[in-house]
Order: sequence, then C-alpha cells, then structure tokens
Amino acid sequence: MSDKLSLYGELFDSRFLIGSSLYPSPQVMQDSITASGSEIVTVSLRRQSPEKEGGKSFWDYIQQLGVQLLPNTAGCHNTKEAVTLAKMSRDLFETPWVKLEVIGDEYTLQPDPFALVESADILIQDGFKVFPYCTDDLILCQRLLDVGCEVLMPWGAPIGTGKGLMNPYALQTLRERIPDVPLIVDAGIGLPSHAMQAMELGFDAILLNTAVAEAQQPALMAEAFGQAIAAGRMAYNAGPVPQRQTAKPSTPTLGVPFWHQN
Amino acid sequence: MITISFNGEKEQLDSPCTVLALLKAKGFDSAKVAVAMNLELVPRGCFAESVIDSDCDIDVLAAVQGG
Repeated sequence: MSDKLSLYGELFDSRFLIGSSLYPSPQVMQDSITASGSEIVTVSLRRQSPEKEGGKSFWDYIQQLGVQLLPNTAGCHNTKEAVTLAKMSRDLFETPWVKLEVIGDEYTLQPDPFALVESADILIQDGFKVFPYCTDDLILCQRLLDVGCEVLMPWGAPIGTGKGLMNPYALQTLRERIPDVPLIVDAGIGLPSHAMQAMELGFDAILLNTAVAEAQQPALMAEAFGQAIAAGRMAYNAGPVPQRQTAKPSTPTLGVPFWHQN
Repeated sequence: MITISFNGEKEQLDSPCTVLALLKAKGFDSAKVAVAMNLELVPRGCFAESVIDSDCDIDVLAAVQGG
C-alpha cells in the first residue's frame, strides 16, 4: 500500500523532516541527515562576511545531499522582516517553499499568531508554499488555512526544550478538526517516543533538529527517530485499539481450569 | 563620500555604486548570497543595475544551518 507524504503536490517516502543546525561538524550533519532518511532539510540565511566564504562551504555540503530544502525565517519578529527574508531565501535557494517563523516572545520563542497569518497571506499571494510554524491553537490553524496554507506545523513544545508533546489533547483536537491537511509536529521533540506518539495521533510528519544534533551520537539518534516515526505511522494506519476503563482478559475465559473448585 | 549601513555596520564609500560592484569589492561570490536594500529584496538579476546611495541599509545574507 502506498503511503507517501504529500506536501504541496510533491510526494515523499520519509515522514521525517530534519534541521541542519547545531551539529558538531558538517560531516556529522551530513552523516545524520543520511541516517535519518529525511528528504527535506531546513536551512536558513544569515549575515556573512566574505572571510567566512559567504556560506560557500555550507552550501556545498547541503547540495551534496540532494534533498529538498526548506528555508526558514528564523529570527524574524514581524511581518516585514519575515516577508523580506522569505523572498531572499527564494532568490538564493530557488524554491518557493518556506518554513515561516515569526517569533512573538523571545523567552518561549512562541510564534506571533497575528503576524504569522498576515505574513502567510502576503507570501501565498506572491506564490510561496508556506509551512507555518504555529502553536496548537485550533482557530489560528483555521485562519492559516483560510489564507491558503496547505500544510500546518504546530509545535509540540517550545523550540529546543525536548519536552515532547506538552498538550496532546490540543494536538489530537487539531487532527480531528483538520483531518485532510498535512499536519507536521515541529519543535519540542526530545525523544523518538515523543515523535512516535505524535505519529500515533495521526500527525503526518515530524520536523526536529536539536534532539538529533545535540545527541551524543547524532547519526545513531537520527536513525532511531527515523524508525520511530515510521513505526508510529504504521501503528496509526493499523488502527490502535481504543483505551478502556476496565480490565478485559486476552486469554479465552471458556474452559478456564480450576474454575470454582475452591 | 557616502555613508551606508552594511550588515548593520556604518561604512563609508567613495561614491554611489551598484550592488554587484559592492559585492565584488568585498569579495563575495554574487551567486552564493542574497541581498536586501532598505529591507527590500534586490533580485539577483538586478545586482548590476541596483545603485547603492547614501543612507542605504544593505544586508548580504548567505546560506547557513537552520532548524
């Protein structure tokens, strides 16, 4: 049975989107991305000096991987900054895909929902394929869909915390209320079990970075996440049993030995 | 002399110049960077004719790791 991930009309075998940041070396980054099986990798843009080769070496590393790039607008705090950075990303990376981040609070790195919707609206009208990094607020997600987003990326927990799914109820509600749009849990995942939990809830994919890049053995952790995400998806497709309040024996009760002998 | 802001730092140039000329003077590979002038994208096809004048804010960005 074909079970590909469809994002803006493009199909992918892997449901694991991975970040390219925080690795101890470019080689470890390459090895980890390869071990993850990811086909989509997030990248960014920053001011560079020519002495640092203007990002040339990173560019070369990432091009060797032959993956779909998903540039982000990390660090932007308002609509103007996010829209300009998205346009610069499209100009350099030659892709209309953008992971739209508009930060509203420096301490929690919580997205600014109002600027996020405004930015998404402007970018979609300009031809971008927007992947909005958002909270798990249902109405925010609906407004993002209203302006034309075809993918949503709610957080599991604040970026880099590794706390896993802070509000499974809200995420499950999102899945139930928005059944036909790809939902990707982005941020806050710390362990493969967190990723698997999200996949078991019916999320379509996982985007993470820190949990792999800062593991003691990043490539091994990338492989572990890849397997957990695939297993979670299989479990969701297999149809888990509903939870029940009371015990129910799994071994047949008919013919139980020693029944009522005492 | 004109004063511009280049990647957040004030700088003086002898005279107005094109984006392409500034990138070349600073040693950037123009194929590997994206440029904004006054918080607006300068499309790479326009580097040769976009003129940097006094008080312009120039940002030159390159690909980096991202999460």
